Amino acid sequence: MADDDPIVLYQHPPGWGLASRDAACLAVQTALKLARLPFTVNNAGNTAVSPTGELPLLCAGEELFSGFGPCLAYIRNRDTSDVFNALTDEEGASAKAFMSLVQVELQYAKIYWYWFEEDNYTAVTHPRFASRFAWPLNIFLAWRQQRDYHALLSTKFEQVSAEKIYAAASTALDALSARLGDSDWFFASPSALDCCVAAYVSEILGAGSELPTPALATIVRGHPTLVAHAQRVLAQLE
Amino acid sequence: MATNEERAKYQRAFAESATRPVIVDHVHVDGLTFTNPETVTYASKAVFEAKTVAEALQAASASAVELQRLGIFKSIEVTVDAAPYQPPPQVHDPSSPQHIEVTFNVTESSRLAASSGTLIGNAEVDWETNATLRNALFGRAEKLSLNYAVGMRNKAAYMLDYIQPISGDPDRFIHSSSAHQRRPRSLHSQLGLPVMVYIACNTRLLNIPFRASMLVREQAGHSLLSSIKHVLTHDTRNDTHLATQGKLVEWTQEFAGIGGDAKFIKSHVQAQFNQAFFNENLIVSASLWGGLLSMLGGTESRISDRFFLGGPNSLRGFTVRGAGPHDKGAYLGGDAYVAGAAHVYSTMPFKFLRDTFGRSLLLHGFASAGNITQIAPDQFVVPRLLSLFQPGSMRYSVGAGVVFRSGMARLELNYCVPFSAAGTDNFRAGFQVGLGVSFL
Repeated sequence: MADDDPIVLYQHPPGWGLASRDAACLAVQTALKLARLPFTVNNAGNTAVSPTGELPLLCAGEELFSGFGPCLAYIRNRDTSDVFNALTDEEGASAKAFMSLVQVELQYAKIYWYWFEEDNYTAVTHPRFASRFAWPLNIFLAWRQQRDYHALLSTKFEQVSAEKIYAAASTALDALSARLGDSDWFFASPSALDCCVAAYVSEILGAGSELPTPALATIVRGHPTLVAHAQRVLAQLE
Repeated sequence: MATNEERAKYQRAFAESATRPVIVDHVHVDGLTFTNPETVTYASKAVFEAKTVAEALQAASASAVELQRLGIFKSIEVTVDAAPYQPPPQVHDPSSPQHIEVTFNVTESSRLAASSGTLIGNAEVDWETNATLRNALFGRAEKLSLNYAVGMRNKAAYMLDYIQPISGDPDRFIHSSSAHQRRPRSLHSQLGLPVMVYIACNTRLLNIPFRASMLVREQAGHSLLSSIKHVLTHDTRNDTHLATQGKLVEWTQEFAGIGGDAKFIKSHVQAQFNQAFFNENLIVSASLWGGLLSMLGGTESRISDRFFLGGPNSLRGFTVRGAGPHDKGAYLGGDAYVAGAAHVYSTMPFKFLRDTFGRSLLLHGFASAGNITQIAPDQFVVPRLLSLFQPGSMRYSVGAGVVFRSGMARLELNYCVPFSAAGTDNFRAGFQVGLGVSFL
């Protein structure tokens, strides 16, 4: 791994005024900017590019890193300004715990909100997903994607129901805003956790402006400090 | 990660117990539902011979390999454990043998497997379907498979295979096979009879190696091809695999864009002329292939739709698809190509060889040349086509060998000497074996 390998970020396309419509991609892009690493973006949004079938994918020279965790680990290695190495061990562990909280609770809530809220699915999610493939293949692929997401949600929730999933997301947001308090950042200076939380909050607020059932966005808006924090993180990088 | 010290500790502990004497009391095979127990006896009985821990472990893993070779198990797990019954312990005598048992936990594979596939290559489409019954009739690891193949080039063949291992030994088996082949000579043989084929297929590039070219990776994912294909054939050859008389002219056109993702017109021409001399002891043959993929709507062509060059039935001396545009070990294919070959065939030189092989084994010499290129959406087609004929970018090969012609295909073994200006091509002087029904 050379330190001058050009970095290409394969991500879901931009939308809602954000650099990517997908939180994990947005978080990685924010982290890259925070670490001041030069990179180019591929907005094709083709998940099959990735060996694991997930975006974001970082391509650095010959190396590939797919998914938020591996991408972040790579950025941390390349980070010369030491933005990501400023935390103490204890803070690092707590950041890790909060990040996995976000990636499970908010991710699952997001999936439910997009794919299983009937009118969101018909009005936005399905047309957007289906537009990437030709008819009639898109009908089958959307059906299969929905089925896979249902199986994923079932691994965590015995009953895939709105109340349970949103309640879990709400609890996670409570914990995050309690940790943030009145500070500008989760720790003394901006860190990977700020990128991650801000990305999820921004995506959910962005999608809430478009989806007919804004349930999850309403929950997020109930945490004004997190909303302000997300704006602060993204503004920092303009 | 174990430190060196820990590793050394484990190694010592293993070395101490490895020579410990054991008696194998039982060998269990769990998970057999439709397999006859006798079938697994052969592979597992060697375990009883083990005298020490090390031997028992070795014998158990060797047996697992033998069982796997029967081809009827999806997975095999081996457990070596103390036998439930132990004679009264003689604490102070470490040389008293330990009683152990070996358990093979197997998962049986599905008894019926069916597959169907289309093989497209060299302007040839073969549709092949296969049904295999394994272990289903008697539970003795027998395999019955039925294969049916239809090709565009007038062939249809059935093949029925039965393989029965003798008493569970994967190395000894009875194999019986019967094949039947049909050769309708109608559909393509007249000029002016158009054949239309509608093709719809969902293309996905699968199993892309981790470090593959990003150019290949970016083309992965689902795409739908919906096209109409039209084949016009004029075939007067007296044999499709090695004709002594006649010619073949075939023009294939494919239009994609009625729905689906890909929008293109793909044309392919193929011509072959054959002439025999000296009472059919010498045959001269010439072939010419060419193809052009024209994208509609300014899009870039996809790897799965492009032409490829190279291989024992195409440009000999090169590996299959081993000539042309290239990125990090991947051949990307081209939008236009041309290839030509001249062949000389002769019967065997000595009378006894001629008497033995007749006209089924012939000496063969050839010279061939070809070239392939990509055409970007913003490039003009004609200059790119002319660039195919620049001597500096051509690929050539010459070679000699033998051709064996059977009813279903032709088999050739040639020593090939290829030349290529492109260092990225995959070619090598040496012997090359080709088996095919369509060839340059």
